[in-house]
Amino acid sequence: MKGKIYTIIFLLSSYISFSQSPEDALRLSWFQLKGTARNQAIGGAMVSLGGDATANHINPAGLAFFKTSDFFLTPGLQFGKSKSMFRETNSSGTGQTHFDLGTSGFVFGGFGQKAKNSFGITVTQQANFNYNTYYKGENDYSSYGEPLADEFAASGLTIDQALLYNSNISIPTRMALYTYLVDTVTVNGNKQVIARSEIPSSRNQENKVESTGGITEINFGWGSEISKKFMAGISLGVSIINQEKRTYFHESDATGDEDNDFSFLTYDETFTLKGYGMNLRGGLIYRPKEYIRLGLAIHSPTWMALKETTSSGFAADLENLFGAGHGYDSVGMATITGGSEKVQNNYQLNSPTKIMISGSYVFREVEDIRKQKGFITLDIEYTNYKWMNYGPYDGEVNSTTKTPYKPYNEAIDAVYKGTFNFRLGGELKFNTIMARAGFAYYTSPYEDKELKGRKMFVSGGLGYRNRGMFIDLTYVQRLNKDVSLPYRVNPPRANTFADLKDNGGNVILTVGFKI
Amino acid sequence: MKRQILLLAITAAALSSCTTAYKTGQTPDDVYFSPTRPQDEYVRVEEKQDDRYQYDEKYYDDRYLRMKVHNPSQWSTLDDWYSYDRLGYSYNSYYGSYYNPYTSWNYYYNPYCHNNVIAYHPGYIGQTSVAQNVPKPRNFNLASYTNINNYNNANNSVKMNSYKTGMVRPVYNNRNSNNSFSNTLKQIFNTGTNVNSSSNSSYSSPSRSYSPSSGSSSGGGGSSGSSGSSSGGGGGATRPSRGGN
Repeated sequence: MKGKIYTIIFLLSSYISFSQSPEDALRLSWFQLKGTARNQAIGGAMVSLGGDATANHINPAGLAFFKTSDFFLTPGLQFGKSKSMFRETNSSGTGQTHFDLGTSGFVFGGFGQKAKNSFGITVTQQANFNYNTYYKGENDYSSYGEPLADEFAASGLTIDQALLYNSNISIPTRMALYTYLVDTVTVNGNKQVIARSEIPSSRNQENKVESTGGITEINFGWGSEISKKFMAGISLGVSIINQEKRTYFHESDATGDEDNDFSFLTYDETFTLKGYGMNLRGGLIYRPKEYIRLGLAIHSPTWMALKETTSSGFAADLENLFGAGHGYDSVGMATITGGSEKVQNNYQLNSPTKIMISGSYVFREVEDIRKQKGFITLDIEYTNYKWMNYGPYDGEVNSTTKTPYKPYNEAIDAVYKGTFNFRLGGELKFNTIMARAGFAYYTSPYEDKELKGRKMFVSGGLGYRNRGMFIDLTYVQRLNKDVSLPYRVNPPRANTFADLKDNGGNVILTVGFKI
Repeated sequence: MKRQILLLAITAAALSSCTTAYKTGQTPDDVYFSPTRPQDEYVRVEEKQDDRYQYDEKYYDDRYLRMKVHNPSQWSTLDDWYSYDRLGYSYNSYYGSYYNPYTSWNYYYNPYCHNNVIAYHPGYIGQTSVAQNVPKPRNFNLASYTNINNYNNANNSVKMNSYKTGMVRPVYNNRNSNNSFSNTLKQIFNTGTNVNSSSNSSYSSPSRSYSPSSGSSSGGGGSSGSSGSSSGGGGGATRPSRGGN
């Protein structure tokens, strides 16, 4: 009995391992804050302007401009098709259209002493994980099996030890060992670790990712007019995080040789991520004189508690290695883990703090709408993606419990950097009709200049406000770039990556009512 | 999707029928200027739907008289407003005057308006302890993100960027080489001869020595490529026996 208990304790203690990556952290941190149709039409700028419900999660001080109350809904559609280039081969993903929810909810204005307080309760889908990416190309340099063979070779384990259920070797590597893709061979009496996918001089590779989900945030904000020149606000955000992502990677022999012990390999992974997060956002708006508004906002990290579940399978065809027609084998996660089809992993992730400054010129700030002519506003935002941080899901946070996450945080420090982001927009107002245009640019979060990443949005829209209601319609053209690494190899070997382009659009409609 | 659109339409229709306060007159635009909400201080018995929020001369006269009857001295400070300030258009502050009966004074003297006290209870979201010890579902190696070694075997097309003193960033190879690619493993399997990869001037797959710290290997075949069977022990996956050829 004692022996069994000790065995169980040993198995549990040695099962401590993790699957999160710097790429996961960036996906949950690098996105444009969404808003109402009016806000999105002006590039998303809202740090100094105020008077729009989007202020609830960008700069709650802007809520103080409300002396009346609003109810509003912002449905939207996101559509488009990603394009890619991988090893000089162009590809495109499948087209898709998804429902989107911009800032919707209530703003209650003009409360308290001298009607100086306003409150907002809004729901916004801040990040949209609905995307399909696809790329393929011929690779005569590296193989998907390379990092798997590297991991096994560096482990100092035998194959049997690596395949133990409580092994600290990653599951893809164990699957590659199980299917003999990664193996040992004897060369001149010396045993070496090889990946049989490295045998051909060139390989065709393709990677397909289908993702759904997003981050929906509920914000509870308060804004107050401290004086005629100063406004302040703070909001509490509760995030609901949900993503389901399927990754399919296929690599095949590009040489046409049918007797070189490698035909193809396939890795198929279903990944789900669920969790919640909390953040605080606060800010000030200063009006030094009529028409001019200056804003400052600080966004705390979103402290996210996340649970991810991974299920995967692996297949390899090694042609005639074991005799004609006996080269194919596949394995699922249950075989590797000793029964479980899925692996669950819990952790905490903190997104980076954001600091924003802004200026607006509003012409004119008068009650008579016939004299309101328009505005222009600019936000400048600084954030540093090195500030993203993994940590233990719960329990005491100290140096011991943080130690397992250290390599991931070091990787984040190495590959990401601080960025300045810009949002510029303006509106022309003609009594009840408004025309708007905007531009937003989010610079690359990647430290390495070789990796081209950006988010750029060009937008335009129309608005109508009369008879106690308002309707705003906006189109946003996305001009985004990003990169995708299907796998990473160890130095001094060189990595390979795909350039991704997302040139889709968003149509956003806000319908609101004065209540 | 259809259900969402239908729900939206129903909600919009329901709300549009409720927003009577701004059916007539201008609809405030809070970005530019937001007047306080129109509201009645007293219940008006003779309400007409058409001019409910018109605040005509009769309404102001009635209210002024009611105030004066109630306490002539208390409301004397508002005499000017009711006499002529109300009719003027020159005054234009951001959010109205303290003497504007629509706004601030209501909150001091209006018997129907009370100071609002907002009770704020900081939220707490409990975290259920579900920490689990699990296998590693993905391959991760910090060295593939950070490299403290200098590169000395990079492709000509590869650009090396200095990251920090003593650190070199990972490099990228996104093009296939045009020169003759010689794969050491292919030669090993096809010819069974020894190939010295370090002597090859073009790319070669990495060579990895197999040196387990304990136990013996049960996998792999010789240079002929024939792989032997595994004898995995209890508590682990066992490679399928392939028997060789």
